[in-house]
Amino acid sequence: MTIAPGGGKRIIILASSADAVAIDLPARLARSDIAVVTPTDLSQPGWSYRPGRREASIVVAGQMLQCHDIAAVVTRLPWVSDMELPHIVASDRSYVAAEMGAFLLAWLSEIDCPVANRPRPNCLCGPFWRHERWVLEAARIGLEVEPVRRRANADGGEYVSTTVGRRASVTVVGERCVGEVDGQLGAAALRLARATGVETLTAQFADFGGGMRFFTANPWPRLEDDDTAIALLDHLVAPAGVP
Amino acid sequence: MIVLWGMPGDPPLDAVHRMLLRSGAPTLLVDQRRPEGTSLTMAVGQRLSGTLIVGAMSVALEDISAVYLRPQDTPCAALDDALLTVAELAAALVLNRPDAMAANTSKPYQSAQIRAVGFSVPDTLITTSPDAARAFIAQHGSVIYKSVSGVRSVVGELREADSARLAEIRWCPTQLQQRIRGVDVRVHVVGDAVFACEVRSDAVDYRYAHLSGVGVELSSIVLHDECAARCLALARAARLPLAGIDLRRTDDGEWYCFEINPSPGFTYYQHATGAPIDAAIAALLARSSQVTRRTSRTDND
Repeated sequence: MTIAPGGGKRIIILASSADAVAIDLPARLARSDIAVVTPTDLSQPGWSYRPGRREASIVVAGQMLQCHDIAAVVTRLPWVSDMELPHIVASDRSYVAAEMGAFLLAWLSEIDCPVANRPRPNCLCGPFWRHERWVLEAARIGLEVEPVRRRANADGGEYVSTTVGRRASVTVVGERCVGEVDGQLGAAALRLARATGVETLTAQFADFGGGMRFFTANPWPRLEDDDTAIALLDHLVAPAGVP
Repeated sequence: MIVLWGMPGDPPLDAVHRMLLRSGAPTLLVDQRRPEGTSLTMAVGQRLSGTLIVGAMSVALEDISAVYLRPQDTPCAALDDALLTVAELAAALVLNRPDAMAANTSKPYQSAQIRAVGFSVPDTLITTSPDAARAFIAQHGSVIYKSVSGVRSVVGELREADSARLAEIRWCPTQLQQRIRGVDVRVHVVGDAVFACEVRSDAVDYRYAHLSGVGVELSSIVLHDECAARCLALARAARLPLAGIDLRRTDDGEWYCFEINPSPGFTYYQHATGAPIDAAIAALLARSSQVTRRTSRTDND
């Protein structure tokens, strides 16, 4: 089956060339409107971006697309690593990786279409926070949290673990949770997603004794699961005929 | 308690440290050259708590009122990461929060912040297309190239002779900018204070003028109110209470802004002009020690 939502525009999945889940997604969902872009594509002639002018062209599988040809972007690439660039001479790899990452940060921040998630300066996928920051942000909006403890010195560091009982994870896409979810945990995850300003995130809860509490979260788009992937694509680009 | 973190020998760190010691403000230096005496325990739930120990001194994380960061990369990655977490989360004045500093990793990302406060920015093209680059050069006549990322690079002018090298840009998005002629002005924002330094040089990039034997003259100037207000607005928007802002004033009085540096090496400008930037930073840090800051990190953002 081939679906072409968004009036023939393409949905771009930005991913590592080692990200089999993303690479396989167009075939898995039988969607010809999905195109996967990896850092290798950034070494093709034809990319152009004029900051502040909403003008850009990109190159996907040798084909040039203008910004208005892009329906949405899903970012699975936290940053561009040296290892993504075997075609660049070794002495230049770190520099080129930093340049590509900086380019993508600016372009994805400005592009005038839905993006899951909009990048933050330290991560192209959205807020890539330390465990402690997630806990503090969750506590700030009133969620029950499990404190996180850490110690460090010149010899190393470690998180102080606590015995964990039951675990649950909740993936938010837009204004809803995907799959069957406990109502209270779902509401908590939705509040966190709204407070964080992301299109999608996965929140994890655990029972450390005394009930389920927020543990951590990440903004990584969960394309592994078909239901989540379809929910995310539908959230970003309404299927044809759906208002 | 005011915490300084970095390597003694770093001129900005040393300058601020000297000023704080002179003022008698309670100060703890986390010396990256001597990590063996440093340890940190922390817990984060409703708030950050824990203890930082440096040699014989210890401070409760809740009692840290201000932090000045100048860390270098060291082999003590776990300790550095824990200290960065404290800098990220402490209910204190932090110069500057690591997440706010991260915007400097992308010049075009920063340029959106710069445009939003009303500064002009040079017309910019980032491209892997030699044809697009040639068209941009033809449009502007004089064009410079610089890194897109925060990796320090020498800003250079693209000349006709470089045209053959344009084929190389297909490998990596390359940033070209309309060359703006005028006088460079480096502005340091410290809280609500503004220190401006005019830089006169014939070099395309005055930071590297010595490499081409070109001279540089620096002198303190007073910015007019509108420009100073714009610098303060930019620092606020970027959540950088301490910032080094690179401006250029054209002959017809237009102000262009190129970059906002979140960890400025201000001593180069201070030595040349006598502007008391170190004292202003120390005073800003010390003022925060007189204020109780125990509610949340967002107090200072």
